[in-house]
Amino acid sequence: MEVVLGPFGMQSPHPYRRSHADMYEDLITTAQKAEELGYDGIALTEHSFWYDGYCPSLLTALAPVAQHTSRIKLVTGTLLIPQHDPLKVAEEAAVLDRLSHGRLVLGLGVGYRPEEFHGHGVEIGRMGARFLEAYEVVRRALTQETFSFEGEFYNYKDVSLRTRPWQQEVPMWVCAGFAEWSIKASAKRGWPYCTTGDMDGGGTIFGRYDDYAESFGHDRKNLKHALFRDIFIMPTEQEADMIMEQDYWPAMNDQFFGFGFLREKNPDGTMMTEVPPAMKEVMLSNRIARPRGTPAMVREHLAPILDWNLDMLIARMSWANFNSERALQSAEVFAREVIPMLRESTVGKQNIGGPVK
Amino acid sequence: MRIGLLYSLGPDDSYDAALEQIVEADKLGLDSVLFEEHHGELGCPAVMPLIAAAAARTRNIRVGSSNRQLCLEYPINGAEDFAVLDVISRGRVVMGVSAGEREEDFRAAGIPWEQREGRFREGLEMLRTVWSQSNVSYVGEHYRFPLHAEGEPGWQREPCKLPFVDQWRRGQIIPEHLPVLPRPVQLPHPPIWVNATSKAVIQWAGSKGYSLLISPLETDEEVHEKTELYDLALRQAGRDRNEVDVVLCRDLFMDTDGDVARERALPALRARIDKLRRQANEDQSGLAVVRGMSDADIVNQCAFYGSYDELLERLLPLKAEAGINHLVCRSSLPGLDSPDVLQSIRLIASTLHSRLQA
Repeated sequence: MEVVLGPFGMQSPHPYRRSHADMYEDLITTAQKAEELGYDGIALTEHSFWYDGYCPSLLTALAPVAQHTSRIKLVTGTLLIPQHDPLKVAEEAAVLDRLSHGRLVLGLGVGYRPEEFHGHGVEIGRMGARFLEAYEVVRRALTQETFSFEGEFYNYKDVSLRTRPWQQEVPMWVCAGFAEWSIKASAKRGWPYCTTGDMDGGGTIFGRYDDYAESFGHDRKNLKHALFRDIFIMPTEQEADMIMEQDYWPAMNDQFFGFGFLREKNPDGTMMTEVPPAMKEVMLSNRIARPRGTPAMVREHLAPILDWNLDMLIARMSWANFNSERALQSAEVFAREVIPMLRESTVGKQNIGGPVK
Repeated sequence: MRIGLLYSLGPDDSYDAALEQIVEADKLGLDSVLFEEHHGELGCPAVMPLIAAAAARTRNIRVGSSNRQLCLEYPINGAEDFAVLDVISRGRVVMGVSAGEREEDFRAAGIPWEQREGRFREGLEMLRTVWSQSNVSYVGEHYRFPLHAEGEPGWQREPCKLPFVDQWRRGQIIPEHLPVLPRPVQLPHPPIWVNATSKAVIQWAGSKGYSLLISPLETDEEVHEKTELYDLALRQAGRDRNEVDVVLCRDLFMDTDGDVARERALPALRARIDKLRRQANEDQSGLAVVRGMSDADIVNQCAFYGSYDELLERLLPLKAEAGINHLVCRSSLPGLDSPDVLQSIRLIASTLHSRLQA
């Protein structure tokens, strides 16, 4: 299993305002540190039109990281492809892959905020169908010298990307959640599946994905699994709890409710802007979905995922308003104390990177 | 006259070698480095990662595009890309933009070729506005921002009718008023250089006060024609050269011996021009380069290949008469060795740059 640090959103939210220019510079330092600590990659994530300056342009933001590191993979987790022109994304991906000498890992997702779709001139309706087409367009553009595509949303006839990516096959992932349609659609096409997990942590998702894929005629051996996970790790339990209370929970309020990830409504039909008190307990106590505590505790909470046949774990220890020094300390502790356990399950697994020319 | 570098990095060109040269140019104090967008084999199909990489490797030099074709995608995506670039480079970005270059690229993107200039004008106005204002929506002939914006054609600047609520408590942003964030660092926005191929676009750029960028294809004579047309448009709009830049891109290769420079660089340029001629669009069909030029004419009227004295003789009139105040040199072409290009860049910086900067 390969371990990726992130994803980073490059946000500057109201409880923890920072200069964006400094944050992009710190990202380079963080990536260098991650490379030193033995992480396999660094991931960025995107959203648009959000007050804290969430990064809207991943393939641009990853290029400086490519220049100042030499080994780690550059992961987009998640690039919201329906909000971009897929051909342009393929072109940028090819250029970034050449710039980084074959270190790009392209995670593509759907998106869910109506304002983001509409702000990019795209209708939100049938976003799933649009995503599946866009993913296929990018895949064909990056793997075929000349490609054509006929669909409901995109049409291409004999288009060739003359600037080819460095890797023969840029690794691509469907980055999604736990909706049945996305599991099934990805399984049908044999596309690698990266999930945020569900309320139970995500254990059953890969089982469903594998079963679907097999029923569509794919060999289980070729299927790839990856997981996003929020991890709260510190030398002592008390410090880890502090991250939860001081960083994570305030961020949840802003970034999930205000932002619109959980589009919950109040009984009177207005949009819910405060988290119901009961929800906090439910979310914080789920240790499989949110491993928390000392290294020993985190190893225990992460143990179930060793059976999920994972190729990649995207471990998030820093988010929106997380104190950046504490986040770096978490990344160090995780690398030292937990990654060795995850590596043991790597035996016999393929690399997330494709073959290099 | 400021001096910068232009790179047209095709499928087989080394990005690493180009970036080494750019790092050196930054140390030498050159003013800018631009990357050419080209969706075939004559340039890079997506320049944003290259610009970001150049920004990350340098401290002072301006970085940007020479002809980003904003309307091959929805223009707001371009606004976001360049804003992030301006943040990464801490305010060193210039945005060279072009309405469109090849019909086949528009066909692939599903955008009617005839609409390119109309879309370009709208798109550029959109960028300029969303970079500096939040509570705006736009209804145009080709674009709406956001998608369901309604009302009279043009920009709407409605004051918020609802009581003030922090954005993070609002449940969601009011969908009519989407802020494009992060904002560029430069105020009011990064410089916009319009790479104009048609007369209509030159006149429009002048009337709106956009800077003009002239591509390396033009002969000295054609450069003068363009700047005259542009100046006229500026004057008619009551504008002044002081508020804009007039940028000239040129193939420029320098050696202490002029013959050596021509011998080294001309075959590379010849090969490029031959490829270009095969795919020139209707705006370019009138250009001398596209109609066909002899090697001697290319060297005398178009490319700057030679020694310091030879180049200065050609450059001074362009500075004095055409009022070119930024020269962007393409020294690196496929077929030229990187050490030779580096030597040319060093010569440009130590002789031409110091002479022309005043």
